[in-house]
Amino acid sequence: MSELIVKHIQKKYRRHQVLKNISFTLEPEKIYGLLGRNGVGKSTLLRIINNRTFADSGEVILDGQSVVDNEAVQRRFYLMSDADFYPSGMKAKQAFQWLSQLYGTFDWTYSEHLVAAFGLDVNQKIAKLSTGYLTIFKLIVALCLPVEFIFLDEPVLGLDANNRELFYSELLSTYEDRPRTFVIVTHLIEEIAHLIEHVLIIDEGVVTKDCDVTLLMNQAHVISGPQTAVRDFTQGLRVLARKHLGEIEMAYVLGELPRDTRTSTVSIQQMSLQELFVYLTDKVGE
Amino acid sequence: MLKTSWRYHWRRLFLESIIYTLGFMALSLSIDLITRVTPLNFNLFDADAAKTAILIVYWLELIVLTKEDTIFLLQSGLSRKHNWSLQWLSTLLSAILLGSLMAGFLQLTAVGQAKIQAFTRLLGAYQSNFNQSWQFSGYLFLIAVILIWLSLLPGFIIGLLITKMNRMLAFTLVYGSVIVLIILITSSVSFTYFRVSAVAQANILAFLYGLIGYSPAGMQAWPLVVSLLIFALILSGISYLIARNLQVKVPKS
Repeated sequence: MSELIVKHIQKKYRRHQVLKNISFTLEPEKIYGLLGRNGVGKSTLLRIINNRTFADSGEVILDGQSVVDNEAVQRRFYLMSDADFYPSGMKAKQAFQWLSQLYGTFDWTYSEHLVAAFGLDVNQKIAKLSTGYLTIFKLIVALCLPVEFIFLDEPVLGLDANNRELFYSELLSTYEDRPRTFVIVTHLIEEIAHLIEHVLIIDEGVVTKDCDVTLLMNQAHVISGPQTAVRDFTQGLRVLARKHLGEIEMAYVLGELPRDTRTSTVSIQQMSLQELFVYLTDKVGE
Repeated sequence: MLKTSWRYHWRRLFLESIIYTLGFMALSLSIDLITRVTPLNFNLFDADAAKTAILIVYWLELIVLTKEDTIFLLQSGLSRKHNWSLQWLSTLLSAILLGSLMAGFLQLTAVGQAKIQAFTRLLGAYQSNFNQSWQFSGYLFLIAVILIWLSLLPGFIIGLLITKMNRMLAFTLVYGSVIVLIILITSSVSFTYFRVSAVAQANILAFLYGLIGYSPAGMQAWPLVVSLLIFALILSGISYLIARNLQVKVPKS
């Protein structure tokens, strides 16, 4: 298993510099969350890694080789996105067969299980599938191909709550059985918070956070209580945002808290990943 | 992966293009047979109409196939270089296959034979270059294949273009470029021709005739082949540049 190294990627669309300087490393057998607001270039970045588009500068390297137009490397990746690249007349079953031959193998047993669990009609033409079932079809492909890096760009697009839950549970189950690297891009952050081990946040064209989720969340707290007490407590701390509800103030803090909080009159709770993301990227706060 | 990609592309090519071709041929031959053995005279779909329909359908199929397979294979991990060479070679092999099928088919009907004879007469000036009649037939077949290939290559270019842009834009771009190029070449040659001395005019004419092998000493066969191949190479080069820089996205339309 190898690391995927992304180095100094830049990409410009006409005058708009989408990616300014993106660098990070994807370690093997980890589940990553790639987060960012609309239009920050998350999908563009995945498209660059997966050889769908070119970076203006920078490189993506696996085992010392560039991934650009490299068949040996690209067959170790799979990108699931909203792009429909299957020929108009192709049926779901035929797509499984061709992809199995193109990638060398396919987990047929697991695909049968997923097809039954999600209720996908494999004899249906892909072009005729509803948005939800098209997503399900792509997810089945992603989970059954023998690849080491799976990039899921908005993997639950059009899925109802039941199917989303089913997908999350299948993702964890297949990850346990056959660990590989998953990179999930989604705006439904709360739903994937329990899945991801590592978070990458992109903002204004650069990676602003690249850390372990547990470590990050251990430093993200909501301090609430009377305004004066909260102000005193958060003195010198990094406050991302403050909210007021009458006399009560809530301060969203990122960083180590004072070791002894027993004498404090404030209440301390852990922030959710979604709240942390919102305040980190919202440019509001102190 | 390359082997599977070949199989995938050619399976579609056979199923979606060759079957149409064979279908048109069978339909035309059936009508021809009915006309011969019965007093009825159907002039609905003779060999000439079938030939035109085959070329148009094959050409449109090639556009769709190029667009869909380029995206599918590239997104399945095939490199741009292999993707281009696989499809470029397929257009060449298609031209040979189509040329062979068409030659065989035209031989079978009276209208078709007349078409072949017309083509033979058109290139009859080159006949004296060949000692045997089969050699001249081979030459005619070669020219026919290159002409079919030349007609398929713009379809290949349009197919590559519509992987990343609107269909109408791709059609306009390819046809517009061809028309503009022809106008530019014709205008510049005419402009030069009418402004130079009589000697230079004679040289220009000699050069233009030379492109198709004509000289006062007689006709040469191979300059025409070379000129047509140069056109094919230019179109291939354009398609290679498009394929090399292809950034695949599915058109929103």
